[in-house]
Amino acid sequence: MPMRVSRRNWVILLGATPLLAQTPPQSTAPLVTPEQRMDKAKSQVREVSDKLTAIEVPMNIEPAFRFRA
Amino acid sequence: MGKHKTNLDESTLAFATIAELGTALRQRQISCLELTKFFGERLETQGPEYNALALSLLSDGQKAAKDVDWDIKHDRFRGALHGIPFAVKDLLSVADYPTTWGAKPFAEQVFDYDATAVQKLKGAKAILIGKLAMIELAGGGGYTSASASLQGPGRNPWNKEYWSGGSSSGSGAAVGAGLVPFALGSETSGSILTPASYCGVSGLRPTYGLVSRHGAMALSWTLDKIGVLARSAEDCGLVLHKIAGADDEDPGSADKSFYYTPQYYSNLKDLRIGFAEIDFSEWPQDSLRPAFARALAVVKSLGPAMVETKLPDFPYGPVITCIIDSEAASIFETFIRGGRVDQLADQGQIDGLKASMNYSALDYLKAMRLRTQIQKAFRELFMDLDLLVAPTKVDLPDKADIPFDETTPKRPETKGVFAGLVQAGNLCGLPALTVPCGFVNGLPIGLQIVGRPFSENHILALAVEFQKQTNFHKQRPGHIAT
Repeated sequence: MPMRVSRRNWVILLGATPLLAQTPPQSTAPLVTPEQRMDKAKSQVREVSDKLTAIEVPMNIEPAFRFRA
Repeated sequence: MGKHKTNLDESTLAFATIAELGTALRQRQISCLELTKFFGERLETQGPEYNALALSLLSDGQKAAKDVDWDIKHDRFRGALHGIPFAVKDLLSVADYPTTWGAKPFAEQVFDYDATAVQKLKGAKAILIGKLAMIELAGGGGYTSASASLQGPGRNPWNKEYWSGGSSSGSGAAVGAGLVPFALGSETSGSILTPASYCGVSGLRPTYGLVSRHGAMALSWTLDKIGVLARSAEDCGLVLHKIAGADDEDPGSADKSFYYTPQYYSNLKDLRIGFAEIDFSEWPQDSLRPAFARALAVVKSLGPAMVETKLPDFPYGPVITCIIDSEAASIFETFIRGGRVDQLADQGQIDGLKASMNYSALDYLKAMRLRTQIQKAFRELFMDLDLLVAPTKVDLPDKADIPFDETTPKRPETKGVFAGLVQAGNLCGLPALTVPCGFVNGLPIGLQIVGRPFSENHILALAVEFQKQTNFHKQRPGHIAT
C-alpha cells in the first residue's frame, strides 16, 4: 500500500533538505560508469536500427552498391 | 613586411586570392621563395595559436619554391597555382612524413607515397608548406567536443574562444587566419562545409568521385570526398580544376575531369534556384536571421528564377549515420577489436566506434536501399531545379573548450531545404559550396549552394556573382568592415 504523506510531514521533509544539501558528497566517483557509457552508445545504434527497420522499402529497390553520384 | 622584399603589405598578402598572388609572382613583386617563407612562417608561428598546425613542411616548400623562381626567371608560367603555397588536412598522405589522421594511435604512421590530390598540386607547382590539424579519424564514431584532436580544440580565427568546426578544423582555421592561401580538406558529412562556414572562408565539396581519394584516410568508402577551402569561390574553382580527374587507384573515381570555365556560366537569369523562406526566417537562431535574409535578397537580386521548394521526406540522419558507422566499423575493425581505439582523445568517439560494431548487415543494406530511393528523389527534384540554396549552419559555433551542447534547440516543425541538406547532399554525392554571407557577434556565417552531380561550374558561377555583390569573403579577423 503506498505511503501517504500529510502536508505537515511534507513541511518537515522539505525543511530537512537544506541540511541534506550541506552533507558533503559521499564519493568523487564519476556519475557515469564505463558500462553505462557503452550502454548509451549501443542504445543509440539500436535507435538508428529501429528507425530503419520501421521503414518499408519495395522489394525491387537494390542497395546503392558501386555507388555513383 | 620587414625581412620580405615585396611592396605588398603583410595583411594584403596574407588575405590575397590565388589570382592576386599569381599576379604578384608574375610581375616579380615578390619571389616564390619570399611568398613561401611568408606563409610558412605565419603557419609555424600562428598555426599553433589555433591548434591548426599538424606539421610544418616549410623546409621542403622552400626547395620547391626555388624551382618555381627559376621557372619565373625564364618566363615559364605553368598555370594559376604555379608558386602558390598551400597546406593539406593531415588525413592525406605526404610521402615520408607522418600522416596522423589527427589521432594519437596513428601519430607515428608514415606512408611512402603522396595522396593523388597532393601529387596533382605538386605537379601544378603549387608549394606544399604544411599539414593541418583535424578531428581524430575525421570524427568516426561521433565526437563530443572540439578537443577530439591530436592538436587540441581547433580555435576559430575570428574568436579563439569558439571552435573552428570539424572535421577539417585546421584547414578552416588556417585559411581563415590568412596562414595559407588555400587548403585541402575532406568531407563525409559536413566536414568541409562546417569549418568553412565557421571560419568565414569559401569551401567546396566536389561531386563524389570527382577528386581521387587515393592516399586519404577512409572513413566511409561511399561517402568520402576531398575538397577545397579557400579565400573565394573562384579560388575553389581554380584548385578543383587541378585536383579533379580520373584515378585508377580510387575505386570510386568517376573517371571525369573538371575544367573551371566561368565564362560559359555567367547568365544567372537562366538558372532555377530552389529555396525555402522558412530556412532563412525561422530555422536560424534569432540573431542570425537578419543576415540570412539579406543574403537571400542578394541571391534573388542576381536574377535567377527562385522556386519555393522543400526536400523530399526521408530519414536522412539515420541513413547516413548507419552507413558511416557501418563502413567505419569495418575499416577500423582491427583497430577497435585490438584495443588501440582506447587511445583516442574523445571517450564518446571510443564508445561510438565500439558500438558501431553492432550494426547488422540488414541495417546497412536497408540504409543503402533507402539511399537508392533518396538519389532517385533528388534526380526528380533537380529535373525542375538547377541549384538549391540554404544557410550552411543555423547556429553559431560551440565554444572550443567545453563539450558540445547536446540540447536540441527548438526548431519549426515545417521543413524546407536546410534540414537534412548536408546529409542528403552527401548521400547523393552532390557538389556543394559554402560562401561567407554575413557576421553575427563578430563570427561569420555561411550560405550553401548545392547542385546536381558534376554541376560545379553552375554552383561556382552563382557564388562568384554573390561575392561580386558582397564583401564578406574579403573581411579578415579583427577588421570586419561594415
